[in-house]
Amino acid sequence: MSMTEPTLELVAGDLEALIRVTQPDAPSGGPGAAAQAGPEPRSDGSGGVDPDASPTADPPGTPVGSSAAGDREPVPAAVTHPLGGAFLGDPASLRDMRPSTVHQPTGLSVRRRHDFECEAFAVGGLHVAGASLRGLSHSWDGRPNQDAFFVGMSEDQRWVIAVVADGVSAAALAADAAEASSREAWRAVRHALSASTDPREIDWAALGETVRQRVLARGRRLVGALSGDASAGQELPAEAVAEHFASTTEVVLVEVAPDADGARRVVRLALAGDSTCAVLDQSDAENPSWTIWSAGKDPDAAVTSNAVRPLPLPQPELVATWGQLLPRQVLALVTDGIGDPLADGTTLTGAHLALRWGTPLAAVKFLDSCAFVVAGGEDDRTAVAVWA
Amino acid sequence: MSITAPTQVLSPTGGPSEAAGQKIFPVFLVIDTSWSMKGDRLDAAQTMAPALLDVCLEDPTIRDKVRVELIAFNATASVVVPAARASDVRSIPPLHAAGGTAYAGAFTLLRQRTEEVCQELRADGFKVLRPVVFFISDGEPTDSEQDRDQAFTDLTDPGYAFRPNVCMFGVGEAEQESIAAYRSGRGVSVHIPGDAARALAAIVPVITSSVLASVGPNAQGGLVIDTGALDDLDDVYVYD
Repeated sequence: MSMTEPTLELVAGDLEALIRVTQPDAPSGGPGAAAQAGPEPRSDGSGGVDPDASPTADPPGTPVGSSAAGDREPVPAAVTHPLGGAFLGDPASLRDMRPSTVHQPTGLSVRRRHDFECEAFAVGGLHVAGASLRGLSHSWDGRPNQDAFFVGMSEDQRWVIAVVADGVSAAALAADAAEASSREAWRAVRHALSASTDPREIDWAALGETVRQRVLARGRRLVGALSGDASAGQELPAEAVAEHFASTTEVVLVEVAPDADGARRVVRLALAGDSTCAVLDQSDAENPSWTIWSAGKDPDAAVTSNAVRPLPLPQPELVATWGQLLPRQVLALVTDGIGDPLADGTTLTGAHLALRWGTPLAAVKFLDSCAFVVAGGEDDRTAVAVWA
Repeated sequence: MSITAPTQVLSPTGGPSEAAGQKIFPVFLVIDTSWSMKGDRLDAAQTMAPALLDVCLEDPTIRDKVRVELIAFNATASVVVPAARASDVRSIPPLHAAGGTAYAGAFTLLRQRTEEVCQELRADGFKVLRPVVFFISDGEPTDSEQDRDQAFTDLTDPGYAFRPNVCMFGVGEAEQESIAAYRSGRGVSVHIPGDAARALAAIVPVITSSVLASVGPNAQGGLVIDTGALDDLDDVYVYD
């Protein structure tokens, strides 16, 4: 696959002015940074907290012994920050976050979730990268990453399959739900593609219900086990399961072989929730633009909402949405940890990702590109990008 | 671009927006300062806004996300602290008890302020979550029922885009019926008869934990009212 590096002068110029990289001598790093960076005292006559004067307890997630720094030089904020990527604009209070090595026991997961996961591969002129990162909120309170993703190929190698899932934070088994939902969606789609010569003939509505039932079955087992009796969950209604085990799930398929014009077919399957599917168009190299194919949230709503209707709750009939991916376009499927700050693409996050995703990235570079720090971007993050 | 689904081409124009994508949660704390609040009741009420602001300050994941406005009302209503992020509030003027208890004035001011605050946030490029009102009163309203019902209807009209979820807290001489009548949306009404100062102190953690549960690290989406702090009190009536 031949890739010409696009010229992104305008975006790069804008972004350089807005990105702040913390220097080693910046005052916000090291133990106690959050308290040091606190606001000025407030006068309220009520005995309220004076953040400069009161020796407050360490925030959740503070490593044991962190206050006993001894004679070691403070570790720079650029190193200690849980994400550590580019600072976009003024990330306000999020710049003072510190990493947590403390993971509260969550759900029934035997495997400890890694804070970061990434992978990348190339196939037939496409480059595919995926990454998932524990967000700043969960880094703050000691919970694991509750997003999950799958990327891979159909059995016949004709389709790239990408799945992202976002466990609903309030559910005790959120991380398990995201893993189960993405895995079941992956399995079902891969099987359906294997059993059909033409994806247009696949009964996507039936597939959507199959995924939901499998997620529900898994949830019943885990929620039952959570109560100490695995069999107790077998009769639970979906609503009861979803209180503890719930996740969004979205799938995108990209056909490997292009048509005569270089276009590749794309299928989007929004099984549940508020993920965002977007296309970065670089046909005008100096003005790359985002097209939001499906926004996770209504951009025109006067009042926005974080509420979702996750799996395993019943969903509207699943409908496949078909599109095309043209040469020099990048298809991105992201959970709301990236979709919300990306918004309509005209944001700092949009400019940052347009700059970083201008050319295909290796797995670790892709992970780094998703580790930006931006005000309002504290959720877990997952992204899959496909470069055509 | 040739995606065949409904699309909207959005090229960066005028430079990228720093606020876009940030979701702000406006919180309106409305405190009865009628004459009956004088003394330890007012002392207890005085701690509410600082406690809420401190919770926001202590948690960087919500510090920039919450805007707190303090409104006091008796015969009239006024903004004591305009909507601001916790780190921008430099002082909170002391509350003074006087006059009667006119809900209508508070509801009317809330209608005006919810719109002004939300529109201003949107104009600055933020996304706005549905506002919440924590309304605290220790006595029966002294204004006309018709006036306050009309003002409340205007505030919570389904056609009003920024209609808030209203949580009503009644303590002291407040009656259950008049408190419950003005709950709306996903709000609750809480009636705690008996020692009003003690009840007011008990409401503080309900408000702070509800804000955390609604937009903190493990928020599910939408308003969550956490009344767990009232579990140890006798004679607490919660309606949702």
